[in-house]
Amino acid sequence: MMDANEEKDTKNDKGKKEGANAFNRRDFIKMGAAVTAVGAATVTAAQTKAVEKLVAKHKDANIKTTSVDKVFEFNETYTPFHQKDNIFMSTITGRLPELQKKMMGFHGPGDIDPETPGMGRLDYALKEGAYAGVEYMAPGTPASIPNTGVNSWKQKTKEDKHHPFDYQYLFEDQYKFRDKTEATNAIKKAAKLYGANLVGITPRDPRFDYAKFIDPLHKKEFGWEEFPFEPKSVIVMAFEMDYEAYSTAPTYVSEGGTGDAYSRITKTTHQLAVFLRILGYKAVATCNDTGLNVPYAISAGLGEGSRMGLLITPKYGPRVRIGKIYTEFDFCNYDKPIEFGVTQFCEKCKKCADACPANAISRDEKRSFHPTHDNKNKFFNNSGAKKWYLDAEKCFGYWMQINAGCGACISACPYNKPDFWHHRLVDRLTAASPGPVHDLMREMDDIFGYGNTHDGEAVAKFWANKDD
Amino acid sequence: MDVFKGAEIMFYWLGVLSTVAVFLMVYLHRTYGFDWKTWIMIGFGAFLLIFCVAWSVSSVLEGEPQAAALGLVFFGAPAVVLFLLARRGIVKKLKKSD
Repeated sequence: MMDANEEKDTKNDKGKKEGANAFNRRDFIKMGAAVTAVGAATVTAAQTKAVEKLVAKHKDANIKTTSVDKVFEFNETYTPFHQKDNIFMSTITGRLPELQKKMMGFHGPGDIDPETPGMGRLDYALKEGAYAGVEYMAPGTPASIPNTGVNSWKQKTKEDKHHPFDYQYLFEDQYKFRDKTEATNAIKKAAKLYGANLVGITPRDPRFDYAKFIDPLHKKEFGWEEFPFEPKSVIVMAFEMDYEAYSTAPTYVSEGGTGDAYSRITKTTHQLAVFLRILGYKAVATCNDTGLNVPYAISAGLGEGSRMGLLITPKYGPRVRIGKIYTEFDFCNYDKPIEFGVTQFCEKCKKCADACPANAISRDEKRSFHPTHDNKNKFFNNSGAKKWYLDAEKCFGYWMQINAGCGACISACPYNKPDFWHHRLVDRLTAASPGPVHDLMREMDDIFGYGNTHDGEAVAKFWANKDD
Repeated sequence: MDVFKGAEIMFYWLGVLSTVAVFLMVYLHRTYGFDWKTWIMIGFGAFLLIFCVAWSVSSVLEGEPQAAALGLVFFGAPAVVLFLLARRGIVKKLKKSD
């Protein structure tokens, strides 16, 4: 029989045993207090800054800077491109007569089709409204026509004032920045305030400039001798196009996304050009004119080139349009090209080539110095640069067929995602992985339902979605 | 300025979920006594479950319901399997100790 002391000891032992395994209310309070203390400690200003730095460092972990010489490879046949040879100008001027015939009425209301999702009157109105800015401010610049509207090459002086309160002319004295970092930051800050999503600055490179220009609106041909100054730097800006609008590609709705970007480009580049002129530096705003956007954007560190020939940025993928400023200002820190695995991914993926309704995108695994497509000997191929060559005649021909810009390749690209954390995570995993993983990622992109094109439901979703 | 948008609210609740998961794991360990295999299954399962919630809610927020559904299948199902395996291990252990 157990005496009183033994019974007490047994109870104490049991209590100790239970205490060792059970998670009682006191433990909960202790742990809660500890978690609160840790949480409070991490939310001090200094630590927040440290966390921000860490996040910024991690965010760019797979993005490596490189040099212009490493990124671009040219062979001896490369010469700067003549603007009259690009697909827009060669169609307008009748050098591709079949396309020119189809071009009559292009972008007009003649092909409005209420039965086809995204091609009705509402969709058409959306597209035209989107283009209204660029068509009013600088008509023709998306089709590569230079020196038009607010993108005029003329450097307005005090004597050219439009009215007594017009102070937006080239100042005679030049503002002096303390150092290059201050100047670079000021330019980029202004560009972002005016509406640019990404900004980079690069030295002017004549290889990327059009060799000569034509203006089919005024029927004239001219060269760099008419440019008002010797440009030293090019400020390159990328503008995001709406994800939902582009999910409907190819429709008037997706082209609304394109047109809206062009209108924002025209507004922003004009504002930045005025900013530079008031600081006393000559500047010319450009869109698809004067020079080649993609190589300049690569050179300015905004992204990498891709299979479809477009720029792929780390944040928005190919879903951007590009604008740029030519300026004599050169007291700045130039950006360097970046690499984050796009070329290696494009070698395997080919999703854009599969999605292209015109079969215009190369399916070659590796890039080459010359085009390999059906129209490889035509004048619109800018041969001699190592890249994947697009069959521009087939691509533009499809635009004529549907009476709108296409954009199916942009919509289909696995890099085209909204700016959400999980896509950035997948991008980073992809960049750090070998080829077979790229194949898997491409398949997963399909399985998860991304990158659909010709999707009528996407049009309904675009119009049905309510913001806030 | 929108201070709390969908993603911010989601991350707040993920924080709550993570804390509850940690509490629950410690509670279960003290009650049943996990071995290292159970810890791995429960820990990885909890991670997958939280990741599954984060992925699927993010996909809904960005307007991609198919990605949300597939997220549940790809990350949620393995989490459930891991929890069931862990449970089976614990039940076996309890039966043995009886």
